[in-house]
Amino acid sequence: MRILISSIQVPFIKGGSQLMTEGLRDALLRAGHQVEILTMPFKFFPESEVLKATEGWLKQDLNQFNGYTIDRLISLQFPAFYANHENKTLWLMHQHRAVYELYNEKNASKDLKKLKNEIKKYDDKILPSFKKRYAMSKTVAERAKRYNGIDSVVLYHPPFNEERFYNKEPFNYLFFPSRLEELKRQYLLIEAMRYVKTPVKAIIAGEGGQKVRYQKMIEEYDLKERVSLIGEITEEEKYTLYARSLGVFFTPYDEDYGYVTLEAMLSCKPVITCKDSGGVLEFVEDGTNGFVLSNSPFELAEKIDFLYENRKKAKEMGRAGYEIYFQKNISWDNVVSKLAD
Amino acid sequence: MTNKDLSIDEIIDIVKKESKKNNEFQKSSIPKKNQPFFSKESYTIEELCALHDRDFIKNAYLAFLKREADSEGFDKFLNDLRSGRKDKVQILSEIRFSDEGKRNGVKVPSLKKVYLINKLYKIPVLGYILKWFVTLLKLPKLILRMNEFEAYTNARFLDFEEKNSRFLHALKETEANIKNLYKKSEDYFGFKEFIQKELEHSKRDYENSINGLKEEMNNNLQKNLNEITTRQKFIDEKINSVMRENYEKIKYLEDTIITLNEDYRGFKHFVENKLKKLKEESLQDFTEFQNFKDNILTQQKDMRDNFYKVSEDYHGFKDYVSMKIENGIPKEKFEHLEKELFKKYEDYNGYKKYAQEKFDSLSYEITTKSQKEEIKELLKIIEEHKLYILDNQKRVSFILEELRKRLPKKIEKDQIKNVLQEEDHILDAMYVLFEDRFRGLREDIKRRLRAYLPLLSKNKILKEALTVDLGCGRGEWLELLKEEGYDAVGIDLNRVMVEECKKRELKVDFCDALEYLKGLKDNSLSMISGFHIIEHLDFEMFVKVLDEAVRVLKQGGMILFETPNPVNLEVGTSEFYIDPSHKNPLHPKSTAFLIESRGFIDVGYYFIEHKELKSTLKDPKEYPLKTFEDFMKVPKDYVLTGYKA
Repeated sequence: MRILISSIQVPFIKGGSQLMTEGLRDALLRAGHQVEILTMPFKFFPESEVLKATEGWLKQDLNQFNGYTIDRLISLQFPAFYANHENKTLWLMHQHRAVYELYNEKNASKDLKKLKNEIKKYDDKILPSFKKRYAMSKTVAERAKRYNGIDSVVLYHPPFNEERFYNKEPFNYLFFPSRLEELKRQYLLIEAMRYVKTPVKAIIAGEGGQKVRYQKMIEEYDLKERVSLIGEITEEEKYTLYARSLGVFFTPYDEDYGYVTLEAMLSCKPVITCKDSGGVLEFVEDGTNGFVLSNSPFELAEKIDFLYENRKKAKEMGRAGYEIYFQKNISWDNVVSKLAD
Repeated sequence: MTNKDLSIDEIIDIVKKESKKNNEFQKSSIPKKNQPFFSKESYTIEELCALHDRDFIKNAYLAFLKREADSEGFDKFLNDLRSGRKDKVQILSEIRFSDEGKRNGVKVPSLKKVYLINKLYKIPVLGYILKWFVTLLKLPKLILRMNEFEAYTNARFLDFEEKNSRFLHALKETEANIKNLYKKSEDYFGFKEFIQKELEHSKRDYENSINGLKEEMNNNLQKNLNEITTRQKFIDEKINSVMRENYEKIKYLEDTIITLNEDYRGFKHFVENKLKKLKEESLQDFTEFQNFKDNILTQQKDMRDNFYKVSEDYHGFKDYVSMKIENGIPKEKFEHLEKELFKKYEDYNGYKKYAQEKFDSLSYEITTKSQKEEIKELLKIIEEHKLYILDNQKRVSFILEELRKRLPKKIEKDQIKNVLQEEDHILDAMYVLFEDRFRGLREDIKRRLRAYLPLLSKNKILKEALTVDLGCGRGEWLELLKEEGYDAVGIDLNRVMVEECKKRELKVDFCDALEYLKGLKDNSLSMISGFHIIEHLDFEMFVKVLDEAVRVLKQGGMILFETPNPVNLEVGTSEFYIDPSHKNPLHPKSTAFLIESRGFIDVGYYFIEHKELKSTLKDPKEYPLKTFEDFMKVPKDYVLTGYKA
């Protein structure tokens, strides 16, 4: 089958969306399909640019190119899912979050308000036109249901290099890998570390806009010996840091999906997360393979201490997470069988 | 490894080492991503040999054994290949025809041949010759292969060169980028400098305005301070003046207090003196009072004499008047006399009142206890006198009566006797007091008398007829009988007592017991009682009383007499004689015998035990009379009962 994946491109910025798109392409290739990713540039700002991109995609008819018929179009994200094709499948990664769950009427500029109305109108029209609709996660599916009244089937996929994650005898630290952004809320871990009673350590990997703030917090709270922002790490170091951790601390706000959760599970590590962490909650069962807590630093600290003091229990929880991962049938084979059906 | 003590730096260090090791292994074992391996059922030798070095071995494993190479096998084959000990076909055949490879059975045409030939090579000498032979045969093909390899190597080299140039290009680009960044950073530093300048500028402005404010504040402070100081001074002065004023006032007050204190001391002294004087005065008053008392007594005597005199006049007059009245003469003169008598009586009352007032004022002033006691005593004496006076009054009126009777006629013997008898009653009032002192209080006696009520229940006719109490005294028994619903009459020879009973609305007659009984009809009484009466009678009299009693009582009627029990040692030896009007002590046995002998039946007696305020009837049998003490313990009174048959 000749398959096109429509996607956007923000030059030199590589994120989870690109990994997911390329992962899909490779999986389809392995299954013997002819696959190509079709991208168009995208700017998140200003609003006029977003609208321009939207209109650009709306104009695209991808049924055939120079007599070369495209059998199927798979669309993952805004605004690439506006492209036209007779046989299109949606695997919704995200809509334009700025006008949905991140939208705040109070702070919204006039342009953003206008953009919101436009996008809502297009989404309401275009998204139901997909015969087959999948969503990356329950969280994403629920948002589409909530904002646009669209039903979609949840279809999970494995993280990049799924097979490379491993588990070894844990050291004495919790691991929190993510970009240092407000929405990822590394500050919850820093705050919690003020109240732990055991000599447990916290390693926060990643770079981002909040680094200075977090570094300041650590210094202010005199946690230098306990909490470390180790910056960017290599893939290899990531596997090892997962493998050697006591557990993974992952408390984003309303995460779409969250590879970190799956990577922790693949590394047989329990996950500490929060009740408002979105996609993480689809995989973490409180008390089974981790803890689902309030944002209270005291509560978080208590469970951090728990993992430190109860290594055997922590290992059991990690093991349980590993089992859950496989129960959920998270594999590219499954994804391919659904999307290229 | 001691995990617990790891610092973050140590952790990172270990993690880095471990991941590096992992990475090396991965690089050496994972097929290149852009040459995906596709599993097939059969391969050609050429196809497998198209890959080189690591890829060749990796691919061979995947093709024949359907798995990744284990590091041991991988290393061995890589060594064999790199050292030239074995060629690719040899390695392919070894993997294919290993036990594991045989199980998988992947088809590779003509590989078996090579494998077998290789086995032949291993035969000594022959194998060597054979190897040479084959090599010679294969030479053209080998040369071709070498050329092919050379071309491949060249191609790879060119490829590498191209990549290198691309890398260099990228490097140049990066350098440009760095330069760009550097430039930007310079811009940034410029900007930073600008901001710093701005900051300094605004800091200066800020400092200036702060200084201004400070100065203004200082000025204000100074101003306020001055004002405060002025006010403070004013307040201080005010306080001082007030203090001075107050000090003077206090001084004045203190002086006043001292004066007052002295005044008080003086006054106290004066009061004490006054008190002392008062005391002396009261003592004097008391003496005066005593004198007054004597005076009253004298006056009383005088009054009595006067009475005789006056009554004589009066009666004379009265007779005269009544005679005149009979003869139609107006009774004015008589009334005048009566008024005069009344006036005398009032004079007496006035005296009495005066005495009382005097006494009241005295008792008010007299504070000492002993004086109070004395006053009490005096009060009693006054009461006694009152009774005396009352008695005398009555007696006087009686005498007057007698005198009146006498005046027109000759004095009869009876009249003289009556007058003489009056003499007997001089002691009446005294006896009341005597009773008060020695018998006890009215209520106490009444309570004691309740002990006899059970004795009355035997008497069935008690309510049918009158009961008579001989010597009823203050009437305690009468009152009790009245309360119990009996018709009772008391008789007594003491006028004062009789008056007292009348005051209590009790039926009472001033009469001699025997005379009274004699005046009654036969079978007219249900009970005749007498408390402490029979011991006052002569034996002869007592017998007469009993005889009259038998006559006036109805059948079944009873007699009840209480009298001191001379069996008790104290009573028999002394107490009986306290009352001078007592005639003979009456032994219960002899009294019982006497009563029986006068015709009463069911005669019996009980000892009466007075304990505190309660009296109890006791069977005399309870009291053995053997030791001296037994006679002390016997109750001091006894009661006798008997019935008319």
